[in-house]
Amino acid sequence: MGGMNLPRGLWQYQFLDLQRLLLVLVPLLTMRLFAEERKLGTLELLWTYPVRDAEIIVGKFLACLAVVSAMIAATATYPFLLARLTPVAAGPLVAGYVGLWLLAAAFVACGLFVSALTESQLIAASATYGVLLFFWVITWNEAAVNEVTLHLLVPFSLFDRFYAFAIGAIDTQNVAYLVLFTSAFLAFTILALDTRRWRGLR
Amino acid sequence: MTASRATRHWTQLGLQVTLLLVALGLLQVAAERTGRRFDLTPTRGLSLSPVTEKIVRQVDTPMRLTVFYRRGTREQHADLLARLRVMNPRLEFELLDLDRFPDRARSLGVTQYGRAAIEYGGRRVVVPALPEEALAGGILRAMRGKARRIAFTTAHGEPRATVGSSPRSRRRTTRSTACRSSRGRSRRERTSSSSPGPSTTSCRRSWPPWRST
Repeated sequence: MGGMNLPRGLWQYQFLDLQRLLLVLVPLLTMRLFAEERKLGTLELLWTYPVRDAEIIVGKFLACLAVVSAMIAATATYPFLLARLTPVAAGPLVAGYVGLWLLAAAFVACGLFVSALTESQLIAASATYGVLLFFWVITWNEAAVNEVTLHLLVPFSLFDRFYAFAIGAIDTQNVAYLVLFTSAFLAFTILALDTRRWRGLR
Repeated sequence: MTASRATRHWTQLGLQVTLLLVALGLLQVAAERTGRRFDLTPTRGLSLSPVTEKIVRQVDTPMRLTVFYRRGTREQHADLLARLRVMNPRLEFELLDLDRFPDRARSLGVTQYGRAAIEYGGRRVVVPALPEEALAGGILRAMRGKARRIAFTTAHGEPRATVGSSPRSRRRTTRSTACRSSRGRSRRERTSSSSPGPSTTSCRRSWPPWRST
């Protein structure tokens, strides 16, 4: 532990806990974004609106991210309360929350994509857990893979990417990875919905 | 939908996904190569110190760092090494689990967890891989280490430095000469690997040979 070092001894562990909470909560929020619409048949109605597909997808993404952001913002209560008792350095908190928000965006994009693939909310939630857990624990079992493979896997690990934020540093390459991860899944969502059209599915 | 049209659609989809992944991959590679760290901690404890930066920038030919970690501590070493590499791409590093590669560690003179074997210009130095100062000190030693020239004075009543006197003195002389000439090599590695931080060579204690008992 970090002893009296608040960034290392307290915030680091708080952010590492919050990321696990996000991992559990976000799939539950994203599972019905498209799956429920498709099951109820309201997706057809949505397509008839004079907006482009990408706009619908981005709209749903931003709406879900807004909900998650509100949840994340609520956790800022703790630093504010602590700041009334003792000086708190803002820097590590900023880094942690930036990382948490980027991670939440990546999770939401992933959940949105999986939700666009199925009509079942249950499948959407569990498949999202599966994908996110894969990117999460990809490097956890260091002993199971050889060094060359581990070296190739580490850049894809969400855990490794988030760790730097949690300890109070913003690395541009980690920011780029999370942004590109989000962009990739949003693009995949557009492609997934497009395929259902030419495949004759709803 | 006819089969040919379905095939065309699937091919088109595969192409789009591939192009997307390649484009995003290239962007990430560019981001990795131009990476920058914003250390927001009050003490700037996550940044390299100016001294370390200066030392690392001086490396002008490829330097290889092989770090042997204890399982579960990989991340601590990887973070520091990645920062060093961003500072100077000539630094190549490899992180190995000591328990999985004991032979490799032995061949590099490493016998303990958390040690780095630094190879540079035909020399090899083994130092603690953490903290940053210890590793920077090792890099500096690897860069500055040179083969020492040993000169002997004669005709002033000194014992003979060449082979020829008693077997005992010959043994001492040979051992001491080897120690001095291979400064920063295996003997020093063994000494430094048993204690953290910059170490003194055990050779120095036995020099000059005629003073040792």
